Amino acid sequence: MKAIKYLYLTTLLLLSTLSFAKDWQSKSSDEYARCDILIHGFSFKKDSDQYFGDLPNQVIWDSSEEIEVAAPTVAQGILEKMENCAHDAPVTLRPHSYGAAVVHFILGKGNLFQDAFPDHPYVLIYKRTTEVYAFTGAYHGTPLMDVVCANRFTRAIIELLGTSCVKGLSTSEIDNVGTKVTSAGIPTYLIYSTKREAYLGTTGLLLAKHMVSFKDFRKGLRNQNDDTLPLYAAKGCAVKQIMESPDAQCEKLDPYFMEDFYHTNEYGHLEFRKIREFMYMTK
Amino acid sequence: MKQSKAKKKISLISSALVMGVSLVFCFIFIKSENSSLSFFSSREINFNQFDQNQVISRESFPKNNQTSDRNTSLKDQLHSNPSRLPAAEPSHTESRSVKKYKKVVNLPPNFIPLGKRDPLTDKYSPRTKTALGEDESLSLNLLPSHYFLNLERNKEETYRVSLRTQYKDRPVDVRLSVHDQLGKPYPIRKVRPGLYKMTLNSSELTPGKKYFEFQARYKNSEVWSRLSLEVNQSLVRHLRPIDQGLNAQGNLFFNHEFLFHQEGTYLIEGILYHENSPIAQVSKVLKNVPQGPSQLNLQFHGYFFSQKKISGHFQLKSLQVRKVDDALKTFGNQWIELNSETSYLSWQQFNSRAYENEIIRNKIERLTQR
Repeated sequence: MKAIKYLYLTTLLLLSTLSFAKDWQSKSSDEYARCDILIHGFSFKKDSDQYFGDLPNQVIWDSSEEIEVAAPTVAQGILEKMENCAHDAPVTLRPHSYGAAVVHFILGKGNLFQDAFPDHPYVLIYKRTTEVYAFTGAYHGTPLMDVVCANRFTRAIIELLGTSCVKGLSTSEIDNVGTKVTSAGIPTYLIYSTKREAYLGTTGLLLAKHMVSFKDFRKGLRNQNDDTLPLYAAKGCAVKQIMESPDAQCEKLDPYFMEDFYHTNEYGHLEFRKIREFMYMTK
Repeated sequence: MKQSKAKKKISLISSALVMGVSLVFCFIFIKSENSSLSFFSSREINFNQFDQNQVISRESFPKNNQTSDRNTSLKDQLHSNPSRLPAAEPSHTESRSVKKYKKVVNLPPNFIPLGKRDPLTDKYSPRTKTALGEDESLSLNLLPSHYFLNLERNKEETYRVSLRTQYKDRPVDVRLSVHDQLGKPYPIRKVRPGLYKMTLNSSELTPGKKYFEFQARYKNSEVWSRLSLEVNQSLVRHLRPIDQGLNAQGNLFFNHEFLFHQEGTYLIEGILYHENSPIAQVSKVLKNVPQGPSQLNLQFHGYFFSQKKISGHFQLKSLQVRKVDDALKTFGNQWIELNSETSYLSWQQFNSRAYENEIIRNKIERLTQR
């Protein structure tokens, strides 16, 4: 009886050990197969370590800075995260919102200067990155930031409350990422939302009216958005335009490499950030 | 006797404890195979990338039109019943990305095939901006002459904004005010009811970024809008075309002479048109250019035209010139329209030898070796 008991216990322990070993082995090899790096968007806090919850490999940066100012820090962060990956692993960047604009800038510069400045951080990132999954990318900014930047009085109040005017995130004609670089040269899969429910849909309604004439608005024409960004910005359209439906097509900023990938009407602009399955979406 | 009974009891209890611990141990590991957020997976060697291979596929997420027909939304599934998460599938995105990469693997890194739009025209050609008041009755249409303006020495430049105001679709005279980001006001001239002009000449324009805020008031309605303008000193002046056509390798080239106003490193981007449509963009970095006249030879690799069998007249439509520093910051934003056209070229005359783009080849290898 005693012998059976000990045999049973030994078997259990052995199985557990084997299971652990198998698990460890498969995980460690899997881990080296992929390298996903998350880059957050605009945040009211300067450092946003909780932006994606406890999802790993997040690049923390000061999103109240303009694209050119923030880009070196973001690039440094991406390179540091790449250090965690196997040398030959395909690298996928997963930026959200304003982060997508900064990532497009870094890759675009890396693409442009790969021959002339081969050792620059932007070029190193361009060389190692294989894909980008852009979650509601702010390629044209948002009219909401226009309000923040509107005039000195509003700006003073808003800056007092901790929100700064970021012109690269406004709809400014000279500051958006599309005026700085054209092609990132990396396949970019666009994930966008048209859910408008936050704050009772107030900001969504405001954006729905953006670029739409009074007459057409009365007739029911709405510029699609996710309460934060107009759809044309998230879909990386070459020019600002009215998009009546999520399926509306536009020529992309980077027509060869950008493509519409996934549309959701269930998650708003900020809702999916901490859902691991959503953030690691791929085909 | 009592002692042996006590010993048996202790032995049984300890055995049960060991079994229990082992069962818990097994349970944890069995669970860890199904869940990435398991106890042990968070203690992996490479903590930063736990179980990233367990990715979710786009197909696993239903499209909106599909979700609307379902009783339970995807969000409900994810939040209320994590065990009903869409199953992870092996990744196939690589093939999609690989296909994209394969189309450019035989092109040089500075060559970008274009779609239907010309990115430089989009960037530099102003469009009308419409703003509406809160009560939606008053509208303000702004059409600037430039987004980027370059000041040339001894040459007068003008920045103009045309303003149209309407109340319930009728042109109306309104109270208008314009000021920049520093609060400096600018005068506006009325042309006719509902149409105003703002004009600034070179002496009023200093290099830098300007953000003009426009406010219009009519009855109880108010509307505001803003325009941005970047003013730069001119970087170069086009002197003359020298030559264009196919070089000895069968690559398309355009050779022009420019006067560089400052020494430094420059990034030049050119847009090529074919039959009135944009077809390709190339870039070139000129390092340590001296002040004074210099030649620029911009080349489009012939393989693209040979492979796609594109014949006809080719036009170097325009250039964008920017100055670059060591941090890769660019300055200047100068747009030069050239409209320099070649004679008729047959696709068979172009270079048919593929370019070997090693960086793209390396990306393809990394995506396919998994």
